[in-house]
Amino acid sequence: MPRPQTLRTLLRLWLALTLIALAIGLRLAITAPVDAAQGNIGSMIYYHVPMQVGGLTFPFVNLLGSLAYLYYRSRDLERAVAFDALAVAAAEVTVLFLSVGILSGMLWAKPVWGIWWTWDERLTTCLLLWLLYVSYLLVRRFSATGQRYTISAVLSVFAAIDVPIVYMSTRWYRTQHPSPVFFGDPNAGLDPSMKPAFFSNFIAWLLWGFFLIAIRYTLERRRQRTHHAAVQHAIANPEAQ
Amino acid sequence: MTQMIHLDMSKMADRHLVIAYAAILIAQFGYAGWVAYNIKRNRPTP
Repeated sequence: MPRPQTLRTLLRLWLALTLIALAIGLRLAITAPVDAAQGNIGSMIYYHVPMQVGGLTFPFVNLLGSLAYLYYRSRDLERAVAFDALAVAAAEVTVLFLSVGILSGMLWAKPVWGIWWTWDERLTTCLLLWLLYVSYLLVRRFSATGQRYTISAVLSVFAAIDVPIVYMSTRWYRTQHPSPVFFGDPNAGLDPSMKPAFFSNFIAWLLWGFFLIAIRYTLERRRQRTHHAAVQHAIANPEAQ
Repeated sequence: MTQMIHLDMSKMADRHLVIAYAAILIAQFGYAGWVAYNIKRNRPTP
């Protein structure tokens, strides 16, 4: 197991690399050629898509943490709570990415489609995914039973089922939302001049998302240790209560 | 020679682009700041 100081140094290096990548991404986004059909608003693709891709990637980290928690909860409690911390970190970052992804999508839709929102399959399933992860966080925050970690872990398994549905919705249905730019129709794709801006932002925001999960995990582990120490203290000193 | 995007803030589309970029950056860095602040606050006492 690496020492905490080594992990801190690695995290700082990761942050520095990510900030450089984000700065390069922003510069490329504002200097890339403007979309011929949409004008300046077409540049929304450089930020909207990475937010949505993050919102569809981090649920898998949450799922991994939740499944591992369910597996270890009766075998190795210390390991189980560590995976639970990973799950909650990923869920919060998922909500963050989906929130700004949906908001930027609405701001893009109004000038291009003439409407802020429509209940097509892509938008509806994406909103449902956001609601599922908000519910996950609310269950953790407000559930009064001692089973909150198990309940939220099971909820996360159900929430993850929506991820492939969101991804496939523009392939299965005819939607107001455009059909896939990548891995879709043979005629679909991005103009080569837009690719550096797109992929630099895509990679930079994913790096940033994993960085956020790492620091949120650190925070959750500290909270768990503080809570554990408080419980131990209360058991050792019952007269202090 | 690269050329910066030319924004016309009298157009709704350009205003929306600026609002979206600003909202994303504020939300992302605001969240990171909130987590960093709480990590510092939860630092174990020696």
